[in-house]
Amino acid sequence: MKIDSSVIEGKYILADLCILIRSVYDEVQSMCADYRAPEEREVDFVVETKAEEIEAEREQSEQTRIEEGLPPYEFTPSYLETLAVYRKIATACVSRGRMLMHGSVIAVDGRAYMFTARSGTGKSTHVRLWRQLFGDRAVMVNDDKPLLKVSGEGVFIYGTPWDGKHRLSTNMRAPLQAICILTRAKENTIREIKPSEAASMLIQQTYRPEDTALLLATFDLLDELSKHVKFYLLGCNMDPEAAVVSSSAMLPKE
Amino acid sequence: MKLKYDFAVRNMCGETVAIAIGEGSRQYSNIISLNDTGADIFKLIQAGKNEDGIVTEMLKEYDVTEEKLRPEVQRLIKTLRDEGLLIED
Repeated sequence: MKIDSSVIEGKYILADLCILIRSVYDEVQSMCADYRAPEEREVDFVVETKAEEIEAEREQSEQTRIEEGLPPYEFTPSYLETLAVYRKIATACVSRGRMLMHGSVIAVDGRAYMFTARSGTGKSTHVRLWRQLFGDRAVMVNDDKPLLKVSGEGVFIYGTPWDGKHRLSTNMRAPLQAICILTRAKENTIREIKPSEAASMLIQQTYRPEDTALLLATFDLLDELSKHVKFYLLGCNMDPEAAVVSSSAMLPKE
Repeated sequence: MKLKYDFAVRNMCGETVAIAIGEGSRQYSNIISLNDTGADIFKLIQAGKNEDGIVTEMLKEYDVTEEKLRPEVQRLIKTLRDEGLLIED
């Protein structure tokens, strides 16, 4: 990392891409410390934040809190910069066959499973039940905003430092087996659904670039993804049994 | 009658759908499932046609009776209206 006048920079590997991050504040750099790239690695692309982009993140975050019925909160500029950086990374990723989705991802026996839902539904809680159930067999890939690489060969999902308020992630990748849409219910039930039934939720939980060409490319990636993973709809409560019900449907049969 | 946002009609997750693009993608993230006829009706709505205009246009192209076609056109227009996606004249 070198510091000249006001710009800090560092080189990291996210979703198998080498990204040079130039930032105003150090927070995003220290957050990415586990993902530092080797010196000799060639940079795939550069992201650099501007003051107005940090300000735009403030407005966006305030808007989201209003929509979610949360009280106002004064975000620090260095935190807002982490969001701006990730937005830029997610945008630049699309033309390279990667995309950002919102969800909690756990790997069991080396295979990854993603839970997605609207904020506050209990994804992280459910995934915690999986960790309790599987112990050493389970690894947290990313609790919040994983990157996915989609190609004709399949889908890989990656740990990234943008991993939610409990900071749960691992610098790793795993083949994605299934995406489960989670809803709250009294009883625990799960069924496999068709990709078309999952499509609206997938779109809502996927980072959608403003640029129309990139947005359409994102839809193409989602379409390709839908050919490689299974989809489930889970109704669940907070009991440990919920993880037994979901995992016995989603994990490969013995 | 016209659509509130720009839409792309494309194949996605095994079916034909309309998805909001541009500014509308921030506001509307549901997708509208369309069968083959629905996709053509939708494109005519995009082109700014009203119910009668769509029916007239499609009767020229398709081997279908008005009695069968018009309810389909009405159904899609109603769906779009219920979703708040239409700006009425």
